[in-house]
Amino acid sequence: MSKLLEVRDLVVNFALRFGDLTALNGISFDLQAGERLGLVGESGAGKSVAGFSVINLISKPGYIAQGKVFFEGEAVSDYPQEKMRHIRGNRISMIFQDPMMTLNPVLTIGTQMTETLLAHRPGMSRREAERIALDKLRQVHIPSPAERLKQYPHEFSGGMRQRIIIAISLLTDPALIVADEPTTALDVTIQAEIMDLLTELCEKHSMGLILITHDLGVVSQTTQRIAVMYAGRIVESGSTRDVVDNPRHPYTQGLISALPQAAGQSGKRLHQIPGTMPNLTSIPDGCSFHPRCTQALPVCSRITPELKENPEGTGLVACHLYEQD
Amino acid sequence: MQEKISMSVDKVLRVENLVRHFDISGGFLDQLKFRDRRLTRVKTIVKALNNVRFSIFPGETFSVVGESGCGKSTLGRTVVGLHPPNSGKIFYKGERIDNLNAKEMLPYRQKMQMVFQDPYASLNPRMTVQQILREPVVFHNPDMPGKQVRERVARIMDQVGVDPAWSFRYPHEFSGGQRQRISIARALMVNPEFIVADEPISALDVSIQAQILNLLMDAQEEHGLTYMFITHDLAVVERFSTRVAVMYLGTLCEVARTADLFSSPRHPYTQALMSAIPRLGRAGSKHIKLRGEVPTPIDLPSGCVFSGRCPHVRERCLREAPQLMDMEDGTLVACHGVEEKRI
Repeated sequence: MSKLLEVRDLVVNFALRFGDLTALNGISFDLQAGERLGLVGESGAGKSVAGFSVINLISKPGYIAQGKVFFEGEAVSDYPQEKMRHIRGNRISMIFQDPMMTLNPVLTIGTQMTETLLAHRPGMSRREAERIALDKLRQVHIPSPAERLKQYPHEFSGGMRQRIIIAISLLTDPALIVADEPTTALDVTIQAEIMDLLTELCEKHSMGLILITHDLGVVSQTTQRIAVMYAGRIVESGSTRDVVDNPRHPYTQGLISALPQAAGQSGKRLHQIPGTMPNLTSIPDGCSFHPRCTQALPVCSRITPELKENPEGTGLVACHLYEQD
Repeated sequence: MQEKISMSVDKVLRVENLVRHFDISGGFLDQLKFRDRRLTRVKTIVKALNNVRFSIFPGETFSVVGESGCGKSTLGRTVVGLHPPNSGKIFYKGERIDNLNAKEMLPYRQKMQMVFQDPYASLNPRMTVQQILREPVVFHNPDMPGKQVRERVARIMDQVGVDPAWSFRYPHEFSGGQRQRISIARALMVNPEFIVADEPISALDVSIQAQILNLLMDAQEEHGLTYMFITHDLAVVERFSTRVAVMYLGTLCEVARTADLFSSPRHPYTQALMSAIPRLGRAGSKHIKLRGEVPTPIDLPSGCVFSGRCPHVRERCLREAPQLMDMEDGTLVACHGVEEKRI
């Protein structure tokens, strides 16, 4: 397998009136071709910013302060916007949370699909674009695709709209899809269908997938690797199975045991992580999780732990509990 | 045995053949449509609840699950009297309450409280926490001395885990989880017996969800509350509830004790729903795939509402709507297939 994406020590700041706010504090991860990675965290952890920075779509006042993003060996984080447009929506596609906000309500699905193709493939004829659009709608299992192309977004249900978004993201045969909470707005039965579809398409076309979500259940069913984020940092990463079965970082442990489906009798109190995620303006010194951590050591409030290989060598963890002394 | 005992206890709430329709046709001109070159007047009716019946026993947590648009929120709101039902009866501890006027309803409003989904929208941004929590007490007990009200505010705030010293702050100064605590405090202020919680945790992060669920369980124990818990999150339901009602398109499919529902779902829709729960560490698990999408509650299918997506559909299902039947273990199921013993 070749390396599709490489993110190195990425720092993303937001320039605000009272100074810079650090949304991403030095995160690194890799993605092999055809691999599915889950970025998990609660709101404010920086998982969406991480996803957006991959496609160089951090809008002002945000900017990449440090670090690089390499896509297919090229440092795309240095690309000017003009050049980035050849990659974004072409080699890397995005799927966003709310399918109603993503589709233009006054254009038919067909127009929106062919428009995308013609923008990225200047020489292509309209007829050829329509043929590809039809083919992609078929791939996402939309019944009677030819008639559907002539319809407007409001004529589709939420699940159908998200299928269309996926079809649009497939138009240019991308190597990587970044999906930001793709099923949060959908119901469970529809969510299961959409996640199945995404997995099936990724496997069929050996596409990479970065799945950004707060739902550990969805991640554990869809992805091969997982990175858990907290307050702008990756605190633990590794194979999904290993991290879910054997979480090492106290935050990951807390997150998993806070799930209502975690083992235990019904009617019993759930394990809870005390406190809330710190505001980005006041991230505590040292390990940003230490005020909420039940196993905090004196060193945790002074020194930020680095993301290092865990003792078993199965993944990475950023916690003083696992540092060899 | 357990079931027999609880059957003999007075039900907190009993609902019979509840129907709630919403007319969304708009003004007279909006209702005019051309059909076969003729101008006709068409009314658009959303059939949110169709012949719903169930009972809730004291001290239990009765969950209502279903996908968006299935009418579960409408059910909660109708039960506490926020919407009048089109037909059907609602009994609170044996007293019929759906036909009461606003004044007669007052004592029941104190006993039945509601916690809403969005803690950002359900707290008045221009009132301090103190004012928000005082209002229901003062409204229902106009003679209560101010000192007693203040003490009560402080006590309840303490109980839900919000520092009473913050009672002069405004809702925007609190995080989502804390706001939901304040919503719960507001419901607890008037000593209710029955609380309808409409998706109280779905707007919150996972670690905060656990805090709020624990708070709800503690409050239930302390005040002897009965909950009607409306949610789409099946994992929460499994953990938290005594009995579960599964809703689909304004109709109840199945009502069962939680353990029974999760170990042996009877209705085909319940079975599909159970298999779709994203579970930890069960990668690539097979779930039952349903055909198509949920129809709109405007054009309900004739016969069984689930017939269009059901893998076990037969001709009878398209013709005749199944009624809820009592099974031997106390479960209620509305399905021809189960009745004919082929599912």
